[in-house]
Amino acid sequence: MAMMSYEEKYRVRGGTLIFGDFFDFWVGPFYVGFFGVTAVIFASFGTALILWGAALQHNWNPFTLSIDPPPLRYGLGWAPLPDGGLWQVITICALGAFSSWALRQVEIARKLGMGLHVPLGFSAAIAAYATLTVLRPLLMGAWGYGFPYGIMSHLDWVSNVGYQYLHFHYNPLHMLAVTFFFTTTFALALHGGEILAASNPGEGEAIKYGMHESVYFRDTIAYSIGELGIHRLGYFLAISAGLFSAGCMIISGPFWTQGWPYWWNWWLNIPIWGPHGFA
Amino acid sequence: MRFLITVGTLIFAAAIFLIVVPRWTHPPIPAIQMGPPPTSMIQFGRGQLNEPVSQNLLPVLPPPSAGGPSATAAYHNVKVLTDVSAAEFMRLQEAMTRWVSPRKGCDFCHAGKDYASDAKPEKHVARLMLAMTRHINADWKQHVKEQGVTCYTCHRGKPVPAEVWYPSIPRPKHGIAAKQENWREVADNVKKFFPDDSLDLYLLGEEPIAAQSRTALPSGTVAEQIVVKRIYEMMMEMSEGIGVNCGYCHNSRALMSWYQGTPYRWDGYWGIELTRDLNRNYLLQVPGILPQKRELVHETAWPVLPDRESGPLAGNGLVLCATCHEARPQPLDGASELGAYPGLTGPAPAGGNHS
Repeated sequence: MAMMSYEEKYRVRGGTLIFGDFFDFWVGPFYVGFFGVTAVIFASFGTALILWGAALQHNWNPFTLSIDPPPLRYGLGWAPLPDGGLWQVITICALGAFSSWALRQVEIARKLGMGLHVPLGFSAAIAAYATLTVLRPLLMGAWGYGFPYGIMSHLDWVSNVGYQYLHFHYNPLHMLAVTFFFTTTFALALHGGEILAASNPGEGEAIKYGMHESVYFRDTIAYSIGELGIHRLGYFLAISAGLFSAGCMIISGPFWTQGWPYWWNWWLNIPIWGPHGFA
Repeated sequence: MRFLITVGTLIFAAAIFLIVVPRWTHPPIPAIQMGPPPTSMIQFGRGQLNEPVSQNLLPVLPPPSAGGPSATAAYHNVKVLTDVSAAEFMRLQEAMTRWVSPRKGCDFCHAGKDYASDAKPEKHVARLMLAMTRHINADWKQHVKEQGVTCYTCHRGKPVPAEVWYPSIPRPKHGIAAKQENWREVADNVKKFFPDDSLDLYLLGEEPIAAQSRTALPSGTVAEQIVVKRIYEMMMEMSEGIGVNCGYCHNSRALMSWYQGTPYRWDGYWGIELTRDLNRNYLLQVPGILPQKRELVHETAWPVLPDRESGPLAGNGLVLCATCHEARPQPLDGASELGAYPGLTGPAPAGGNHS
């Protein structure tokens, strides 16, 4: 595969975290590195186990296939492969692959003299996944609290876990997480609109750049967060969405087992209201 | 910098407040799995909640001596417990006193030393309740199984069970004062803001508890929102009363589907039917026998009748799941003393009030 004209200057040696130069090479346009190798191994092995699970279940429909976590009775021990053991190994593979991908990006960032913003941002998503499949099950005392790997079955899991707390939308951290998710997409849409508008000027007009965009927002809404600032804001919103959704699951079960609506009783029972609550 | 310190301190204080004030629990969390693993139908142990009433049985009274005359031969004016011996009759009287009116003792129902006298309306209510207990134990095995019920299942040492509900005041339906529902304005629990209309409909009326849209878009049969909301309130009443979450009976991917839920949903179904039967055929008779006067509320000489004896319609309280269950899947965690008191089983008297 031919190299792009500017690619040469990015193919710099070094920056690896372990094993020095040993894995410091490219395959076609792709940097490999030690963590590229581990990512491929974890991902292939995990995918093969999913296919094995499909063979064990005689189910090759991708929508109904489900790799289920073990029943609660296995606690934090190993389960037989068809009875949740596959789920346990696949979870290890998934975490291995995701973490490898983040560490590979660390090596790339070090090569290019970039900050670690990309792998850190990706780590928030990994943390959310690890919370659901490892941290929360550890706190609850059984791997069976993890979610099943299946297109339909994981939706049923989400639904039933929500109803375990009667009305999950009363979970305060879920409220924040949802707000951050919506705000992220909203901000991204607004920002995309702005960029498209600036880079597609009318016939005969020059393309607009950051300075012009800032002036536009100062004129219309009296404030511009700035070219760098808008990306910091997006980064903050997206990472907060992931971290607060991890947080809303960590408190659901280990630290709260009743309906989430009842969590808010503390508000009604603050002594500054009347003797029978808010009146 | 000062701004940052102020905001940081406020956030820190709010975080500390929200960690200390709400009643958080902590691991280890006991749990029971109700369905296959991927559905996550899991019940959590509720050991960390307040216990509003005792969940322990009182000690069983020593068994009576065998033989002896029957209750009807030994005592006058026996109307309900006609099929037990005199010794067993007296033993049950003593047990009922401990279960229902330990403070007022025999005088709660009996007028002085003349135990045959029907002067006190409380005695008529006690007969009605005895007939009701025998009816439950004889005819509602679908719900109460072998555990059955005694007076103590609901009363737990109080003349009025801790958990009862009252029918709603009829609300203005037209004109400027019209209200869709009787929302409450004072509560110390989020659920108590909700109106009781669902209980009127589902635990006293015969309204079927069913609403399900069967298409993703509103093109087919669409469930009415107000109906869905009332059913949700009814289900929250059951959930809180029994101390379980939705997954005890339902798989939430298809709440209406019987074959995807658990067998416990049948127990719940019969429980609703049983509650309707008791409210309609027994408890609605109580105000006719024992007028529920509002003045009683402030009469300190009669401490056994608390404020909640009398509802907004000056009627008595009706039963719901929580009356017996007290936030447990099985009342008293399944402990039964029914076998020790045979007078509480047996057929309800002929010509009773139930169909």
